Amino acid sequence: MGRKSGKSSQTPRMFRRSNINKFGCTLDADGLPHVGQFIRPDEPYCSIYNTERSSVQTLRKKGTEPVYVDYVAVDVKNKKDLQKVNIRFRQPRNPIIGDKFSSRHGQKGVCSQLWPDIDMPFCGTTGMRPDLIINPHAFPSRMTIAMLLESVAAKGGSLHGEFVDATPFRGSVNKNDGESESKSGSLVDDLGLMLRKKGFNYHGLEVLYSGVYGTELTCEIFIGPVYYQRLRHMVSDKYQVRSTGTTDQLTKQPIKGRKRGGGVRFGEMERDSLLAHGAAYLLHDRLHTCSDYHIADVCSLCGSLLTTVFIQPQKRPVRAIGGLPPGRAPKKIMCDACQTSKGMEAVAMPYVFRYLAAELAAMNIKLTLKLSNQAGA
Amino acid sequence: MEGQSYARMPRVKIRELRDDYARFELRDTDASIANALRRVMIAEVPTIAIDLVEIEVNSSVLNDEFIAHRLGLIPLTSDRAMSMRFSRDCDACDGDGQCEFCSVEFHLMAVCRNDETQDVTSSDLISSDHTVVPVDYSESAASIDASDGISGNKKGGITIVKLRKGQEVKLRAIARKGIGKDHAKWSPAATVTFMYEPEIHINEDLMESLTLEEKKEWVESSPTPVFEIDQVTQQVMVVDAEAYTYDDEVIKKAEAMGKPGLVEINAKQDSFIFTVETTGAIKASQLLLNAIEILKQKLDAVRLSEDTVEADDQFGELGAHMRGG
Repeated sequence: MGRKSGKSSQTPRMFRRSNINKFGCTLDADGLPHVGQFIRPDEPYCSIYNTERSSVQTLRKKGTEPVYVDYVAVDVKNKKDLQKVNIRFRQPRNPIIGDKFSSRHGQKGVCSQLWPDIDMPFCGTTGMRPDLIINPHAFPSRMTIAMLLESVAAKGGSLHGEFVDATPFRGSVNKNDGESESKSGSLVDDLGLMLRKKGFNYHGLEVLYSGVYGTELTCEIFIGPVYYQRLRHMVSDKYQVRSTGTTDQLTKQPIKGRKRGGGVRFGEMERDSLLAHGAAYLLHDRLHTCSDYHIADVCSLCGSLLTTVFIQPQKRPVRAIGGLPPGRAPKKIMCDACQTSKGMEAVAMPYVFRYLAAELAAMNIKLTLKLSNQAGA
Repeated sequence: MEGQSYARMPRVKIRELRDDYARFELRDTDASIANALRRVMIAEVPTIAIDLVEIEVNSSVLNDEFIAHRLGLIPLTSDRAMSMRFSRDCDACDGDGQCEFCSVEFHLMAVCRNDETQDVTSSDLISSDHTVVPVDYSESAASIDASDGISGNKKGGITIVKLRKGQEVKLRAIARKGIGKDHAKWSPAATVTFMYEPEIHINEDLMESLTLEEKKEWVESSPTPVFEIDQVTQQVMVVDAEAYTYDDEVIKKAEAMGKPGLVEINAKQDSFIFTVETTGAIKASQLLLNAIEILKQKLDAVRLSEDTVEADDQFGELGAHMRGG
């Protein structure tokens, strides 16, 4: 995570700490953090001094994760004062559920469960416990035979304490060589024999015992060392949750976007799914109650929902009733078109519907509602 | 609940015992007990490991957390661990984990002044308690090296970090008691495993119907040396039943040769062969004894005490049984 700050020399700005609250400030005198400093969200990580206005501006750490300052580099080309720095942050991130891992064969996947070591299956003879278990269904369709070969070759190699030649053109090399392993058939045979010599199954299978029950697992399990690496897609960068939060100004619907605390869209396909399940209340909750629920005042005489007007009641001297807060007179609503408050009804609807009515009105199209108490009328 | 007790009296027979290695038989008990023992040995026998590191100077190439992590993984001799307190429920220091009952302090000071790379190892750690020191096998390893005629490097211990000229590491570390469930650094076990004891019966009549060649072929089909052919009588014998890994290779081979039922192999459901290796934090024998002790404590926590008779109704006969009735 790099961070550069300070523009060219036209603005008289430089890195410096404020002289006023020296003691409350965690930054050093040059306005920069020290290497190894722990910075929580919303804490300052550098401060910039404006010589013209003699004001100090601090840059604060965004996001929700605390970080360590890993590295601070200073550009000293400009001899006078500090104008350009590079601050790198570092966050410790232990593997958690949702982090992405991969072998070197493009067999990537997401960690779906973290298990205690003692619950992992173990081998009765060697006591080996796997670090990672991958679903065998990942192999047939992707055809990453190389990963299986790596596993067997690494197992054989580590048992014998030697490196294994992994060139795919080994067969041709052998022919030129002429002498060693001249009869060798396939690579798999060589690797299988390596395992065999050390008393392991030819195909790399082993009998494992359940770590939870201590009983033998019914299947033999293919097990061996494979180089694994962590990919940079981690859940802590991606997770998104929202119950309530900011809404769109125009539609009053929840906004999108992880950065802004938005929600995940409950789209058409999701809607179809709930419809198919007949989960009407849940559907209503998602699409209406949790979204842009709105109570509009509709005139049942003319059917318009845009012509409502609030009438401010005349100010009466407020009678104070012993200790209670002054009662608020109910707002009076009337229809501007019909010039009456008769027939005003409160109707629950999505706010976008009202917006639609307004948009249509802008195009000279009138939208009227026919109100009724009976369902389906 | 009259009478009949279902308690079995398990037997233990030690096959081989070294400081960091044990191999023993456990008989007359169930897989649940054997596995409970394995799980407790790995995850619940306490040891001491460095848990808090205050770094004063670190100009090495590794960052602070990296060094702290490496320090944590160094096994420390933990014979005291069972009698020590967990710092979280230590009365003497109010849980801040800095007192003699629940912690051991270490210091590490290393500066490289030579042109050569200097290794900072676990033997550079200075302990405040002579009973809790980094595990060091360099002496025993040196004797092996000497017998081989290879001179091992002079300074033993586990490498923590390597320093170049001018680099320095200075820190204070606090070691605490913990269990492997919290962090693997507290696990005293390198390997704990058990296997069921195999019972192998060769069908002699069927075996005699094979030629010597076929016998050889069949014996060699097992990746581990379980069977052998007697030089004199040319009979197939079981030489090492425990070498069998339940891989079914010989059974498959017999079927492929058209002789199903040539050999019958069963796992004895009540005999287990354990292999225990420790990190050196405690002795293998002590690891087993501690594990049994902890298992007992756990069972005591489950068992209802005398005065909770009112709980009898909801547990019925089980309640009486749990109180040892």
